Amino acid sequence: MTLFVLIIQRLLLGIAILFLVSVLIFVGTEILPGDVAQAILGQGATPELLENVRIRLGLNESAPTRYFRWLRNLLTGDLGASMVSGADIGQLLGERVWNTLLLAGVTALISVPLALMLGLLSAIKPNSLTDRVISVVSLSLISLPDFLIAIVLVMIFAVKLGWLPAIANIRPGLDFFTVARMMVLPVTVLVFTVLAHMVRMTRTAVINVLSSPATEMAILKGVPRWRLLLVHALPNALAPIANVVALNLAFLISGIVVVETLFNFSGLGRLMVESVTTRDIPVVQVCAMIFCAVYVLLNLLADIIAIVSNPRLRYPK
Amino acid sequence: MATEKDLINALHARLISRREFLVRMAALGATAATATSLLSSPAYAKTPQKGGKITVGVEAAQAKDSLDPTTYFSTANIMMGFSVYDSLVNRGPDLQPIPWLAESWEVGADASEWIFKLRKDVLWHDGKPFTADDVMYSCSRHTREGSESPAKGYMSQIAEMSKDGDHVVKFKLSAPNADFPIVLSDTRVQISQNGYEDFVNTTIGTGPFKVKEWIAGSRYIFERNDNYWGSDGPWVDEIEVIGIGDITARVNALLSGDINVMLELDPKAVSLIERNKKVDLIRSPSGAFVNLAMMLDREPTNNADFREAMKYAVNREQIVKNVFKGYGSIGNDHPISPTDPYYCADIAQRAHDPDKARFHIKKAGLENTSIDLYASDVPGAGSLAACQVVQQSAAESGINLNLIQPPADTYWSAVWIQKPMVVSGWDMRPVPDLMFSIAFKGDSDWNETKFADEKFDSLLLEARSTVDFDKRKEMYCEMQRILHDDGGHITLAFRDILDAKANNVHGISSHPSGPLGFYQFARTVWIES
Repeated sequence: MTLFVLIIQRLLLGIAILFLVSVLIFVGTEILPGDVAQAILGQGATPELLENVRIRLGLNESAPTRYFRWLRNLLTGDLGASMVSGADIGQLLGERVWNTLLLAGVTALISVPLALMLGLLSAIKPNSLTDRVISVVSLSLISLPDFLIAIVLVMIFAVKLGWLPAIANIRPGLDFFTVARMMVLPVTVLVFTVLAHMVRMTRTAVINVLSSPATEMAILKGVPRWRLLLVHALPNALAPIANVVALNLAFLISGIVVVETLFNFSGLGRLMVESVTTRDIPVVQVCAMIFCAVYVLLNLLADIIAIVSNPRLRYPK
Repeated sequence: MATEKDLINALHARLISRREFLVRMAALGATAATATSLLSSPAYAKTPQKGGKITVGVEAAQAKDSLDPTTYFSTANIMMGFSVYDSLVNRGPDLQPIPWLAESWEVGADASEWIFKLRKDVLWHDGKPFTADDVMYSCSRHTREGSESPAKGYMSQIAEMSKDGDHVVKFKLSAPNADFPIVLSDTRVQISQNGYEDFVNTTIGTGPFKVKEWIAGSRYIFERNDNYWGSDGPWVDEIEVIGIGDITARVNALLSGDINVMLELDPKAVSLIERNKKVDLIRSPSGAFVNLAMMLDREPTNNADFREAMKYAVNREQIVKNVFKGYGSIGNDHPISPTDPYYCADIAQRAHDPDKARFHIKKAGLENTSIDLYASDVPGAGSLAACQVVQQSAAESGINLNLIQPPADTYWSAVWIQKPMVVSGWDMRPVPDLMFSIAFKGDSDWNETKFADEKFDSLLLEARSTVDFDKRKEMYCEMQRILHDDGGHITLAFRDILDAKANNVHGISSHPSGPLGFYQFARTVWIES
């Protein structure tokens, strides 16, 4: 029951945060120099043409009027249209949301189990050869910037060997094999990027638990090593691990602009950056809302996992 | 005058017939044997093949891309426009107007009345015949109330349009303009269908390709129009245009075969293309240029000695050699390139002269004073690097330039025609009149140097109504001299247009007016299987 109340509380708080973020984003884009009319016309702008565009887009109205109109439309389920292309935002987002989820999902499916496994392997015997190799490799990978890894992988596997495509130009109607081939390089780069963080957290959390008196008790009791690790240590270490995994997943949804750009992957991150450069506020707003919601929900999920896995949190005093 | 290379390219792109090629080569002084041997060399003797798919990698696919000719935004956008639409008048590699949707035209009494006869065999993609109403409607879309078209300025010279039957359009201009046909070859004056206004997801054109899928900012696919009126092409089944923002990714995509044509190459990447045998460079010497714009109406660039100092301080050869890797040519501080028939060869080339620069900067009293130069790559690849070269060569003469790199997304609105000295750039205009009118005429909105010279403006108007080439050239020569001496314009370099393609792709010509055969490669491109 308390868990249920907590979820409701957090969801309401999430909505408040979304609202706040929308105000911040709107104010932020207002502060930026230049507006969508100037962005559309570029070098071709004249005062007369600018005025015509501003009238068409309703940019001459005051900022609060525009914000509340946007909010009202949003609450009635109308995402609005892109100021720049006139395209329906729902339609604009549809495919990109799917692409982003696909990329993030596949990366998570590979990186999360891999990270847990490597983290546990490291934690079994801290400072052993295995632990050191895992640490060195994962830390080296996170230290190399993702664009460098991406460029090197493309040079080798796409340009020199010709095994994989250099760009991931995913669109509906492609068969599974083609999409899979396109995904290999971007997913590899992303796995490298997010892996180390999760491995290190798993290792630290598990080592922490392993050094606790309860573990000592279990060892003295004669619990086998694998059982100790999976049944005793891991559940207790789950809360911090879940938090790190949630943060990395949220990063995979919102923060992979560099990888999207290098592989020409049509995802949400790039859409948001491009919309900021053209001051296409409605699109920026919706992207920001999605990213914010992802962070709120994933963090909520991580907290729920922490509570469920820890009886002490389930029954607060 | 077309050079031998232009003719070869024109032949290659099938803009001219084999017979015309032989005749025009003879006119250039080539022996019949040379011309015939060129014809039979493997590259030009091949006949185009139907089929295949072209994937073009462009700099960006943006939400701003549009199928509405009045709101074309980028180079890639214009190129896609030319695959679905035709213009009334096309432009040859020698910058002369070529009949296109209009099969011929006549000039009225004093170059202020023009009569265009339209082709009768043209069909829209939806099967309707093409008529005078389509032409009148398309032209009026640029000038009507609320128009956002950058072509509004020069299309407004049309005072009246009327038709005579379905295939004759008469234009009455507000003032004589001997260049009117070439104005109609502008990249934004493409002909859309009468009454057609909803360009969001698709459109109807008369061009060599039909829109198969158009999602602004993400996906553009075109399929062959088998009912195209032209006899030569289109050949390929499908053209897809994808935006690959990162230059390295774009070159890699070409090298790995994910794309087989690449629009606009950064000079920095040329060596990657030249080293690889699977791809070819397409080079088009052009009148497109990168320049410094010094505003004449504000400090410190209103000081004539300062401007003179800057003009002598710029090392033009070094910019062409180091920044543009030799793919360009030097200018003479006016916008007309040596390839232009109206180029004035009588004006002495201004050279890099540190002593004169030092003399003038001292006279201006600005020696070792920090002066801002706004530099960016927004006006074209290489313009930032060119400014860095200027900064260095100016320092030799005691000119202390402070290089500022403003944010790219507001360069045109917050920096250009706002700050006293900025780097700018222009695509080639087919005739001097268009370049002078847009960027140097006293009352133009795009007069980036705030240049205002009565003599210059009156010569501009006078030349418009002068049909005689020599007399006009004399006037344009005088105007080039005025700009060279008194203007706030420093030509940093004329840059070649560079594109690239896979080596089994043929039929893309080189054209001074724009990349990929003046944006129109879609019609003539074919793939050798």
